[in-house]
Amino acid sequence: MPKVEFIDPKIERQSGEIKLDPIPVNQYNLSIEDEKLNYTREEFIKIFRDMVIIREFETMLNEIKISSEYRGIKYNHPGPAHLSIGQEASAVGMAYLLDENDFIFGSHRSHGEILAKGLSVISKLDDARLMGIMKNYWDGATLNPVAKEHQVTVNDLAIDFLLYGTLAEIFARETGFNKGLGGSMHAFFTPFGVYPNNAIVGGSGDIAVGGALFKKVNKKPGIVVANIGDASMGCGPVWEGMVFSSMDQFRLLWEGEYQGGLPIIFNFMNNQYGMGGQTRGETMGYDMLARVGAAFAPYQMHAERVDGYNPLAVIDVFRRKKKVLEEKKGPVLLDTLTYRFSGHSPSDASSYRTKEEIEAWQQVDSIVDYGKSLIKAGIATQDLISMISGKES
Amino acid sequence: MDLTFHPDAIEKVMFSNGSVDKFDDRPVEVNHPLAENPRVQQLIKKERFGIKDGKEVGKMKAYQLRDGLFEAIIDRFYKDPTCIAFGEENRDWGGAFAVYRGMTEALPYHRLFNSSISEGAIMGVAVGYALCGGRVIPEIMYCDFLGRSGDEVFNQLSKWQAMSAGFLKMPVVMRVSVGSKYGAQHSQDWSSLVAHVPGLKVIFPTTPYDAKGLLNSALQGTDPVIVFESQRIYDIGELFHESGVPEGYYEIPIGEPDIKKAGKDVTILTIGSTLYTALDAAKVLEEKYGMSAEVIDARSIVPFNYDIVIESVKKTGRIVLASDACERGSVLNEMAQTITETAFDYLDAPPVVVGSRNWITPAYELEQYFFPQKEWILDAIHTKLIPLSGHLPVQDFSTREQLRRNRLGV
Repeated sequence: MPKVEFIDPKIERQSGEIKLDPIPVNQYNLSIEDEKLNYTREEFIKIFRDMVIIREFETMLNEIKISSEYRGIKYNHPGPAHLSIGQEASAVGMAYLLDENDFIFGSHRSHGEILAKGLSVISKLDDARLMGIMKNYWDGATLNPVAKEHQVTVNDLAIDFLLYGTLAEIFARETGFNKGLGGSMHAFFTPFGVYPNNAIVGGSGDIAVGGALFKKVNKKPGIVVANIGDASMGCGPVWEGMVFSSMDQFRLLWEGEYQGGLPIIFNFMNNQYGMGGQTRGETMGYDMLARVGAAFAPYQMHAERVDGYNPLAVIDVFRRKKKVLEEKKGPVLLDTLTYRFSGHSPSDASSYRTKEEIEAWQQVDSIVDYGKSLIKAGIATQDLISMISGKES
Repeated sequence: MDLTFHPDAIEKVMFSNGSVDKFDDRPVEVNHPLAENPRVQQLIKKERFGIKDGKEVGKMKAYQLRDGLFEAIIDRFYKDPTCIAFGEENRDWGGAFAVYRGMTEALPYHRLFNSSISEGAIMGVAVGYALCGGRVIPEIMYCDFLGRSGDEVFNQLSKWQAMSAGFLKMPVVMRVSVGSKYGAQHSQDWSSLVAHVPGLKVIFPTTPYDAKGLLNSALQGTDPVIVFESQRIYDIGELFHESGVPEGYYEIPIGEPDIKKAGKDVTILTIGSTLYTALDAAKVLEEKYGMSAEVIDARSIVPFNYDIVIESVKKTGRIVLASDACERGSVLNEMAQTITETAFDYLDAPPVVVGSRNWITPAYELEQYFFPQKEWILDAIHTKLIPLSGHLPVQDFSTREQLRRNRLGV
């Protein structure tokens, strides 16, 4: 349509071929020793702790759904709980570098992402700011129940606030982050950059693009991450969101400082199932999800597959892709490979997969493996790992 | 949340009902002062009231409905730096129906741009933009394409204010044009579909004065508003507001119907361009049958204040409701029911709904058999409300026919 762009028949009718670049698959190969340059001891341990917190949170919900009891406390939760037990490294790795200016949008299975992003932001904010956010939110309605308990630091209080606000929301309580009107599949907390999670599969695939557009048009700092599942690749709006975000005009027609790509990462949390439908091998034909990036633009959306069972690999890819966005070369597509041990929901009998398969992934449980690697590298003792895990001997 | 002691707790967060000039204080980015805009300059020469010396002003000379939309939107672009618009053919083309003509000159690319033909993304991106804090005007070129943005409108646009317990705002003004002449997939009025979904405001202005005033209200607000615009009347002049469409800013509150013609014998309530069909019918009623019809333009569908409609019915005792939407499931039936329940004692007969047939929209050449015609309104009055002396109906409004059609689902 724009007259400035001439469509030349001589060029358009030339013969040739489209060349694709190789798409990296699980190429991260640094050891903990190598990574000692990038993380302090405390940071290494925080990554472990955050994964453990998410695991315990989801385990608690699972027990409440299955036996209406957690550690002797009886509770009946008739509502939904789509758990992500097994996916913790992907969530923590995704959120690790993000601050309050970075927005994440998610799916029905986003408890882990909410907590991971919240924990990341809490660790980056000073006490005054944290207290300000907590006191102002619903005039302290979410803070008050946890403030009554004894906390040593504001940081600890903020973690309790995050866990409580999320849980109260899941349990439809008025003290929840969204006064209970969101619920498990839609909980969010924008002061920490946690934007609406969406119970419509792929719902965030185009809404998140709007967040990135908002940042670009209004010159706001930060990036946007759409955390959507592998099965959402079957949803039209996800493709539309990727088409919209990769329109040539951002690079070619938008003017001055507005020129350049949208700051968004389509982070496909690839747990390899859509409910029970196995994406690779049954309901998709992409072989590997990352391949799809090549469909949208010559830069192939900078697509790659990353091993979402290694938190450091996920942090590494986010560090590199964040830079791509800051250079205005977005959008980015990530295929973050992971696996959930828990069912689609607690009522799931896992009729679609074998016990052997679940056990094989449990053998490489990211929390256990990462804990072991910290001990092996002399970063943490077995006692510390056990203590954080709540399994003191 | 205790809905026993606070029964309005959810009701209160369905809409934010805010009034916000702009969502940021930085200067607006525009390419020239508004007075230098070519379209603004053209509009100076237009007749802002469409009747002169008792005759309708010619289309070229009249200030049209599309001009009313233009003035409201360009005003907001010059007030709110966060305000952006996008959709198919919104930039160089000036919008498929020339509402945006002149805006390409006024606005840099990042404030007005062409989107891919992705109705889902057009609405989804708008939702994301708004809930992050900006004002946005997405456009769906034809109402028929609304289906392509079904989830984004029904599940996203409508719900996030309430699902955030009122924490988030959704200042999205979604423009949708309603077509005709182009057959089954370009000629449908689906305003009833969105009216069914809680959390959306729905307006359907039919005059230049109402279009500008209602759109100003929508653009000043903080709620999602779906604006239906009939392609039949984009070029219509202002025939009611005698002082003409004001050049300055004014608001018409969303939710208030308007009496376009006073009368005492029968009320005709319309949604959309059927207003003009109803006015034609009113003319025949007056000239041929000596009946005076009161014609009310709904203007808004959600919210809707029934007060003047009920007052009218108390006076006339009879009401016909008409629009171009297919009759089955039309929101007109809901309005008829509400009127029946709230003004039963004043009614001589049950309200009559006149909608389009429950068919595909046929080609232009056959449209007179599909969309409500002025004769249909007369037929409905004759058959169901009060016999018109000497009237020969062309459409069968008998109860028997009504039941037959329902039995067949057509």
